[in-house]
Amino acid sequence: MPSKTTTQATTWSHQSSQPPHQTRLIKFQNCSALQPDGSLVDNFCLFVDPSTGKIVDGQHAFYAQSIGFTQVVDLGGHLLSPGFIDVQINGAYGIDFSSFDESDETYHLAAKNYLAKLDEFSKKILATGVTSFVPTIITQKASSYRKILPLLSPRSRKGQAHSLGYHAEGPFLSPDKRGAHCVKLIREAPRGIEDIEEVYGKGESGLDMQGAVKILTLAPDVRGVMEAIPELAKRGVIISLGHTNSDLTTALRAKEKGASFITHLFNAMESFRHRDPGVIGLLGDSDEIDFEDESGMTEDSPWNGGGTKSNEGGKLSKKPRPYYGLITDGQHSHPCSVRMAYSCHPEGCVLTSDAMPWMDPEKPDGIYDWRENQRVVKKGYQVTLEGTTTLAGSVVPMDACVRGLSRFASIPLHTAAKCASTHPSRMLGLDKIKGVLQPGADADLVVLDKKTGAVLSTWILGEKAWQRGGDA
Amino acid sequence: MRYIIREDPSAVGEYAADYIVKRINSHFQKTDRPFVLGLPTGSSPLKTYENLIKAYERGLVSFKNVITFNMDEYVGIPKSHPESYHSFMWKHFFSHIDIDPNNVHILDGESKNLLEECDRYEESIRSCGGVDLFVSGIGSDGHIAFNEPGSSLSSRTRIKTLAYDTILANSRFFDNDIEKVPRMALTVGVATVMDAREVMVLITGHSKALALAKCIEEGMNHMNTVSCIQNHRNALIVSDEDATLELKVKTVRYFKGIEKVQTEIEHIYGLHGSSSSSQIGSPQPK
Repeated sequence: MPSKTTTQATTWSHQSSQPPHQTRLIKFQNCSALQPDGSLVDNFCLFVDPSTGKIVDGQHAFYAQSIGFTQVVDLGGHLLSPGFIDVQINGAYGIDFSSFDESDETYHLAAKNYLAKLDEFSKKILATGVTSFVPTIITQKASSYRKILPLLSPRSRKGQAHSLGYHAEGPFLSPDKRGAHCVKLIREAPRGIEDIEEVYGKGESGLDMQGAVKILTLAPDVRGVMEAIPELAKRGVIISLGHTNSDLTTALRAKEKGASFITHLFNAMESFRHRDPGVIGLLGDSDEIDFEDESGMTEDSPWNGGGTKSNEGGKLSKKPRPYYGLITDGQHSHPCSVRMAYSCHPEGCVLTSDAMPWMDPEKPDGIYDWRENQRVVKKGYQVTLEGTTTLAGSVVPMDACVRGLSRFASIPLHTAAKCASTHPSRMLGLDKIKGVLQPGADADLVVLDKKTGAVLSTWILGEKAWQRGGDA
Repeated sequence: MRYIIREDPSAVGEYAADYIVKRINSHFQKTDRPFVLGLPTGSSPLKTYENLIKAYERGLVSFKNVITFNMDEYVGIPKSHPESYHSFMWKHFFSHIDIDPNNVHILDGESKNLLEECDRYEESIRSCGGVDLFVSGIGSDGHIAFNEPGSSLSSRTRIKTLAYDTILANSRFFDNDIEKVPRMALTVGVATVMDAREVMVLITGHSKALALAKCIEEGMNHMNTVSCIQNHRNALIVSDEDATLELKVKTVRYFKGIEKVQTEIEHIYGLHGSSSSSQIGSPQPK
């Protein structure tokens, strides 16, 4: 009887002649999930292929490939968001990406130590919901870039947040707006791209690193920078405007030449003045200006940002408004300013932590050593250079930025989470593989408490890498 | 034919799911052979699927050894279309249970050779040993699957053009644009359903009342294809009170009265008198 049953069982299904599939999916269920279009879908199911760590179309896998799911993860009705992507983070948990210990005997050993710290950071940062980040290097001695940048090629390790590349903030910055950057190291680029290549290096270990996110924060009013922007953009570098004295005209021109991001909006730039709103004014740029319109604006108008005239109807063919970084720690911008910026250009909002090595929810307030002869004062989410009111980056974790934006701009938590996931991935041009819950993308996920917004668990490529109150 | 009346669509869904669960479990007490289940789409079975999922989540039933055959599918829209019956079944049922994808059968409206697809489908049903329980809804004109009025009561799986009524009713799922509604479907035939060892028809809402009254109180008629269950030796209709509106009071009272007796019989003999009685419960009136 049993043998007969077995024989029958194999013939009952007309597809049973196909080889059995080894792959089985993981199903995440019972959650409200942020969709690529910004909407929230209740009772959402997400399917992940554990062999690739990718989100898959569960329905297609089921019908077309006969792949079912065996593992079910119940998310308890909480909010599921793509993992956060921090495109400006200087370090945290005592680790400083800008610090390269040259006292080590050999470069090889120093590099090994640097990467060990990077890995340590990549594990700890998961607690803040961050699944990908762009290590940010502040203004350095020219020689340091050649040592650090080659170490920052994309790095993904099991159970760690992905390090996507590098963000070099400086040294091509306006001295007036240097903030906490070292005035002696800030410089111009009289020879344009050649000077820039000289600092960061060209080829695989520098400006032409393949498959890596490369962000440069540049001041377009600094000699030689504006002319170099098109060449940098062509080489896949994301140009962010920051630490700059630029007026609006300069900012518009830089945008048309290829700048697509603004580093910590409102900070280290000209204040908003209504007749010349400076870099901040880019958020109000119109999509088209008609040359022949009643305002009498002409191609020579000082307000024309250098858009090129298209053949159709005298309309400007312009680059879209740039994305802009906001640090919503309540320190770097007043909540009212945050709400104004967000309301003006919600789709461009990219939350960044700009966190410094002192970012660590466990670390008490106090005075901490930083660089040679410099100390900083940490008080709550505020860090200043000792004896000044100059902000030296932040100590806010990304998940607190998300909650901050939600409160300041009066938007739902999932809408704020989009500014920490989908928007940065779009800004980086990675929105097919990161920052979206859609088939083909990496299953880097964060689960937020639907009431408090606290991070409950963080997932890397479909595997739980961190969870509140316990080991993964 | 048995006819069970419940208060509202939720209660119909609970009864139907409960019945299917008992039917599957009693089957596996007798044999290891897979249970073959025929499934409908549309609004009628939604509550039934909800309750089946709950039962699965509570561990009351497993679909691991259940083979399913769906009734129909549109021609001319991809399987991934949100209104395709592939999408419906995935969304409302298959993505929530432990069924083996290899055991799921839905007609392929994208097939290059639709005729062959229909023949292949009939052959699949045969090779699985026939359907144990076919669950169906009906349209307001009494159609089962896409067997619109005038369909042969001996029909098998085939290509059907949809009646204007059905296209109109379905246009609400296609931006209210009649042009976007598929004109054709693949569907099992009336005889394909009637070949099942048992048929259960779910009927809810007053818009189905006339079709239900004709089905129960009038003769078998190809203009009301559901009426052919009069000829089935093991058929069950479950409806809500709204669907009884066109029935005679006498008819309603009669079926409500005999449910109690049927329950007693099932206590003694099991479902359909086909199984030993002691382990198998029977549907209790709510």
